[in-house]
Amino acid sequence: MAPDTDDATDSEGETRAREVEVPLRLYKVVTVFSTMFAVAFVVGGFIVLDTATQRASLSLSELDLPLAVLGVGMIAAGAFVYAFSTRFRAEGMGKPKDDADEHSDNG
Amino acid sequence: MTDNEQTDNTGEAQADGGSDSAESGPRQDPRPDGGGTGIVPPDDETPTWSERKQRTQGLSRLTYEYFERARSEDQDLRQESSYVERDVLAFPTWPHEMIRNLSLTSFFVGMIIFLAATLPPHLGPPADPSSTPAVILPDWYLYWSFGLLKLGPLNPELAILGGEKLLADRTYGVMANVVIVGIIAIVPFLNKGSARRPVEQPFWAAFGMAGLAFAWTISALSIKNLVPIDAHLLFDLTFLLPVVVGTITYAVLKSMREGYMFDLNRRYYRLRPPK
Amino acid sequence: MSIERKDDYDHGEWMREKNLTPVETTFLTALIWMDKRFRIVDYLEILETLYYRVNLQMPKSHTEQYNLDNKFWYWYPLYALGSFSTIAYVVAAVSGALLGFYYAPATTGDPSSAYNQLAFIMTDLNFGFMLRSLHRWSAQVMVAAVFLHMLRVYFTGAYKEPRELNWIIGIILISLTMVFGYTGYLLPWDQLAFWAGQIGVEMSLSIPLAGEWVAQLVFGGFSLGQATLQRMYILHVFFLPFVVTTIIGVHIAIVWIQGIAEPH
Repeated sequence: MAPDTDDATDSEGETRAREVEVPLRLYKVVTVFSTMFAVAFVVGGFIVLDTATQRASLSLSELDLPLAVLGVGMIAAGAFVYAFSTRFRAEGMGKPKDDADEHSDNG
Repeated sequence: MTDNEQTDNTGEAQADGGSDSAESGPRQDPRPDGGGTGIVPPDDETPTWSERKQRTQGLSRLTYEYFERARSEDQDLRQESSYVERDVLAFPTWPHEMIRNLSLTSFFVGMIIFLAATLPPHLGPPADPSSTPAVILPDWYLYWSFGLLKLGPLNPELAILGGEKLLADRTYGVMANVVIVGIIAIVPFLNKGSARRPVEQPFWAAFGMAGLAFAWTISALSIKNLVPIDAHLLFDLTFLLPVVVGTITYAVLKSMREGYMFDLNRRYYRLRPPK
Repeated sequence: MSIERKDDYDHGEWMREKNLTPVETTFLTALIWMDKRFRIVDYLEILETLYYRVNLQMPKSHTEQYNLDNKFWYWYPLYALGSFSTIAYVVAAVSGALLGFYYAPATTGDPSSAYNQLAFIMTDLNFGFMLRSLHRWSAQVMVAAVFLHMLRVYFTGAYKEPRELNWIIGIILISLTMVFGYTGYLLPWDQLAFWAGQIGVEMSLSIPLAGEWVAQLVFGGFSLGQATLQRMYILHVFFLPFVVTTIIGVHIAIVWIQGIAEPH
């Protein structure tokens, strides 16, 4: 992945997660749909995995291997979609770790 | 109002409102203090959330100014009041507290279900009036009250009555319940003022800790045949331990107090600067 | 809302100038394609607008307003104990109502009908064991939460000046909660219940002056029997629920009006 001008490095030159700034409306689209897909994939993956292993009751030799791989793959895909969507930010959204309006001293 | 608060107010106005000054262009909408009703009916021009959030014009600005004015008037009144130096403040129950509580309690409800699933209750043998079981116990939360029934040894034998007791031991125990509840009930009438933290009032914190310790020891006394301590020793401990706990709490809080109060007083000073 | 859409964006053009990786472009294009067909975001935006219209302005919390101790959140769970006991009360009420379909407060037979019904609920009834378990645990947890709630209120000084009334109402509530628990404890009519009832009768007989009267009224006599169980049942499922729910309502209303007493 090509390093981006956006915020590929922070002040110490340390590489950090890539962040892409998108319009607010598009940010909402990304959040809503990718969360939906992620949830659907993960839940569906578990259902498929359950079916393949008959709710984890089959021994290793009996299980439906392609279906089990599909299930694990779906869970991974859900996780990937979610993780991928976190790089998009709306303009004006702070980087969570950099937000320094919390001080650790008492007031 | 002092300058200090003035800056505080403006800072607050901008805190979640975006740039107030930067976007104050031509403002043709009615100002709340410039005559007219100042009421803008909602129509096609009702601002979207993002516009509303910027609070620069229209109904949003009006609303904001209304709330801000109400708040500052309220603050002025509180400042002028000489009733108490640091009067009572409070969190608004809605929305902060309720939302927080809902999220926390939903977790705890999950915990109840988990407990119910893993630790089901026991159903003992059926009631049989002819055989007294070895252990008779109420539920745990009544142990303290049950323990108070065993205070017989404290019941004074009055010389006037020729060594007789004024009350039967059982009656004495029941009355002890009333005394305990009574003591708890009159606490707010004895302890007034706006101190909140235990360090501010070591005595009351120590009193509370002693009471808490007593609740535990009296509960232990109520099940004394299950506790592997000599009965007389347990009886003495029931009254000694709370005193010890109270004393330790008092000593610890007293020694913490000096450093702590500096911080607290600074905070109070900021909250309510003296006139 | 005006009919014209506020921010329609030329996504294609924007993406070209933005220097995205192919994966990102595909990802965004796919999602935009979905969005054009299923306008879910629009509906969510309507909800968002409604939300903010209802809360014209979210008031700042005390901590925000006065920039107080930002570590205060450590204590939030203790501040939720009151709500928690209310929720546990609701859980107990729901599971209790369901248990009520199967329970009969009768001492006839050997073992008694009440005990038999309990055994039926726990062994034969679908989900009955869990139901009873849930009822019992939520009751236990409610009492525990109420105790801890009282400690929290005491040690943060939240019972002070304008809130004395609520403190007293709280004491009444905690007592009624324990009565609630006690009456429920007697209902299975097993050995523990019977002898706990015996203690109850003796305690009420020990009350000066009114003792016999109280024993008659609450336990229906000086020895335990059908009348006792019947009274405990009515107290537990009819009398106390109304009284306690009302007092909880008043308690919470006063908290609502006065606000949460915060430590400074």
